[in-house]
Amino acid sequence: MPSAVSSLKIVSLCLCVSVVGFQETSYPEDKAARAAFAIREIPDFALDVLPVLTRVGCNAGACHGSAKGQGGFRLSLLGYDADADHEALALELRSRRVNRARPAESLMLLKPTGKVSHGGGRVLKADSPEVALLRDWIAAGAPRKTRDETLVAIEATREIRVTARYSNGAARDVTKHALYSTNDDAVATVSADGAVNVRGKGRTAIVVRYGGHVVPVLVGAPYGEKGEFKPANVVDEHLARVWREMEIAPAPPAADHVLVRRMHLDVLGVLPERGATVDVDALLARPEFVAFWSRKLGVPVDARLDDVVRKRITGDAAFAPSDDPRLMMEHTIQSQHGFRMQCANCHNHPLERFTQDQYHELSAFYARVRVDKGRVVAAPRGELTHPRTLKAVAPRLPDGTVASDGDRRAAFAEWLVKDRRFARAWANRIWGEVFGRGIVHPVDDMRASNPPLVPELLEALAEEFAKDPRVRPFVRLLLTSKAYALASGAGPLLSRAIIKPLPPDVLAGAIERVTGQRPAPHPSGLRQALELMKIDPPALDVEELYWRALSRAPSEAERKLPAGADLVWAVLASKEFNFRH
Amino acid sequence: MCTRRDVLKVGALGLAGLTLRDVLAHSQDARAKSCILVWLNGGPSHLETFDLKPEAPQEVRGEFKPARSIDGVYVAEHLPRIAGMMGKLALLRSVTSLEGNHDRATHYLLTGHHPSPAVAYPPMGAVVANEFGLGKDVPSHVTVPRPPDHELGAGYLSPACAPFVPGAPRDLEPVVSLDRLKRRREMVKAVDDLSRAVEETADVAARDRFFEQAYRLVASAEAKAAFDVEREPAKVRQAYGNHELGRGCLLARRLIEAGTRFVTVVDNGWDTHEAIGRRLREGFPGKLPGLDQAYATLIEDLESRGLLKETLVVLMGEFGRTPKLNAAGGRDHWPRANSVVLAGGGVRPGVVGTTDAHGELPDKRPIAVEDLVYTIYTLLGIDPRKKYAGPGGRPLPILAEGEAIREVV
Repeated sequence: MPSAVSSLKIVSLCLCVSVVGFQETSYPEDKAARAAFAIREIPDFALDVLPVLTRVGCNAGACHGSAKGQGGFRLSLLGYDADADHEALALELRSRRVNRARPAESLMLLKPTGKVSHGGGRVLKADSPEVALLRDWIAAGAPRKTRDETLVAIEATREIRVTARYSNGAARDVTKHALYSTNDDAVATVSADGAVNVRGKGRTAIVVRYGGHVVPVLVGAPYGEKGEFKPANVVDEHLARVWREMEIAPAPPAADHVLVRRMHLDVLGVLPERGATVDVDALLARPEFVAFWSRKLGVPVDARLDDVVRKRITGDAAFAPSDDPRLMMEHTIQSQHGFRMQCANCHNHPLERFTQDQYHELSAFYARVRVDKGRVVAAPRGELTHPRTLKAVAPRLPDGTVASDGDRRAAFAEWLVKDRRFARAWANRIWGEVFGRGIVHPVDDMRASNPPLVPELLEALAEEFAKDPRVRPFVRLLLTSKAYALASGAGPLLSRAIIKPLPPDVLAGAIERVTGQRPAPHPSGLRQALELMKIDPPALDVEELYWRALSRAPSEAERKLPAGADLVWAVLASKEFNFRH
Repeated sequence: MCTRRDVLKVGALGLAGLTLRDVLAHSQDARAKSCILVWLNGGPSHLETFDLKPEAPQEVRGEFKPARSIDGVYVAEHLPRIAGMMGKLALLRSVTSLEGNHDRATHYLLTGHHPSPAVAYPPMGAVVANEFGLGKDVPSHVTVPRPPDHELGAGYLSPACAPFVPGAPRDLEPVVSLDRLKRRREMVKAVDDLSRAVEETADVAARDRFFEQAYRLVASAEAKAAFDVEREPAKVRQAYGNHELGRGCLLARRLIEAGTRFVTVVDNGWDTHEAIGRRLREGFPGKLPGLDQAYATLIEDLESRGLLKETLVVLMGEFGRTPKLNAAGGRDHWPRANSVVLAGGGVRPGVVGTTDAHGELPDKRPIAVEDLVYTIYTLLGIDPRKKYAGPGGRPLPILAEGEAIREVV
């Protein structure tokens, strides 16, 4: 969405995440700076000298860190053995490598600075802070240890660089002037200057704000697992990539009877019949599908959603949440774009690039309607007044189009359903119903500062939905992914199917299916447990009970349970019955 | 219990007179066991309740006059009984925040955290349930008569810490005998033990706890009776008021007596964008007369039963309201100034902070929302810096910010 025109219009913000360079942490030359660096006068071998050698590459596997060393000089690989390395440098060769009397003539300085021939070439500048540190250490007698502490941990910090690009082609580094926040401080924190500190496994967004623009930067640390997963469709392809990147092993496929049950509950809201198989097309053709999804999504789902929404908005029959054009607009945007406009009523949206003017321009599309018996109907005239200018606001779409005469709502509806946000919001909502949680969560709170779990997946799904905005084929796409059919459990980034209490009405229906008695629906909680205590079911034999309630045959041990009303009740109270898994 | 004069003395003498340690020692003795939160949903106007500005211009001061009260403290004329008991209450007039949306502000005041897309923070009631256990027979966390519009449940804590919202007392009666129910309960365990279909996630574990709670509740005649306000003498019910807030406060007292640790009494109708004077004054009863009756009776009743010193009573809403009346004679959201009243539970009575001449901003002693929540936890004996396993098992402090409001603890 374009922002208001200004002389210095920012076209886009480009962000790159780079690892902080050595210059930031190197050993300062002058004494005052050294004090500030919190290293005492005499460098310690393990704490100060070895890290320099490691960074320069002296003890790398291809150099002196190889098993045989290099040129008769051997160091432990990447400095794991400080004692041996100290001996090799300070004591072997009668200490020609270090010259305590004339530090500058030590071999360990002459070789890497290229003053005497060195197989590894020149790797240090003579006037570098690293050389100064090594010289100080030699001058002090090349001690093994000068401080008592040991290194216990390091915290890796990544730095965000923010570049503002202007309409005249100019670019400016605004890193120091941008505002940073983290969406999950258990995964990563960010300092006021944009230094990112990754603290835990997982992924989150650092939200960067500058000049009215918002950009999320995904950061995180991999899980270090290895797994096999062969994608079956576009859903799987995106998840497979993310799991590979984050080193996550997805769960194995769920057992057939588990998948049959899961699909029936998610797609039809009912328990499967005994003998049902995994047949996505048969399931989607069932008459319950339309009723269940129309109730869940609040729109009739047997037609294209863009047509449905167009008709709803212009058809004089829309439900009116209020008679205020602003609230009607807010309600429509939130339900169709999954975006909360409220903030922009009083000021430019702090989290998005929506301006207050745009808010009122969009609301003006609802200026010529009135509410009749709870329904929105067209009115011949009416204008919306801007609260600041107190003038009538022209109905203008965010792309700049001004509505012509006639019913303004038609132009609004056309924009609403063609905008990519429409497809994105619906793709996310339907995903949330099928997988148990939106890729953006909550599903009606889409904004740059609340980015999707897997952005590329949501974009790919939005693309699919934009091509064919019907619910049934889209649900089919999700159900035929391997990701949907994974075994359940707790795991990161959709790598396991979610375990969720059955929705209140689905549970009530399932209990009715088993017992013939329907409890009052309540969400999972004490009220729900109390409600079940008011059910006294008829007895069933064990085989019939397990098939009916749990969609499977009882095990040998389960067959031995005493049949009767008490067992039926116990299965209704069991975990396996009460969860989507 | 200290008087307001003592509080002033502490302030005047400062560190020389009474050290912080003395203050803390005081709070050790008088630690609250439970808490009643009276939640004025929608954001009550500070300028029409506890922070009137009789000297401000008409468009700021509105139509209410102050009731007679202690010097410089102007409580609305429609809260006469509360004004008369200010000596027992701690009035915080300078609670300030920047969250001006109902959902965000409700989250902030009830958790002490700004809302985050990644972490669902637990509200105070859920933390109390987690700290004090789920209760013996009555649940430890209850909300009446229904949750606030922006329900927080248990946040990232076990769903078992979410508030119980009771229905009618008859909903607590099972259809089979208690013996039979006990047998059924044992059978559930046998069925669960033989099934490995569901991994033990937090939701799954919570279900066990709900059932455990349900068994205990239906098995205890005493606990069931606590939910039935009809068992109170008519005189008491009349004193609290025959309206939702009155019944809610009475139910809260019965539950606290029976062992509930945190009761939220939600009262709707405080989002007064229009005709604020009329909206707060008129009705059956009006918002303010109803609040005055229910709250003052609750405090007096707790006191006469010896429960006030161990029961912290918090009266607040999500924010104050705009200093200037709008064109519709109402006030809009104004989070920068909010008045909160604490009572009982070891609270030192007194007035902390004030706002400027128009009730716009805190004057001198701003109180952050984190400080308020920190103080409530401290009064309840909960360490606000204690770490919980947050989402994914990561350690998260109950509160990362804030400090105790030392004038009241």
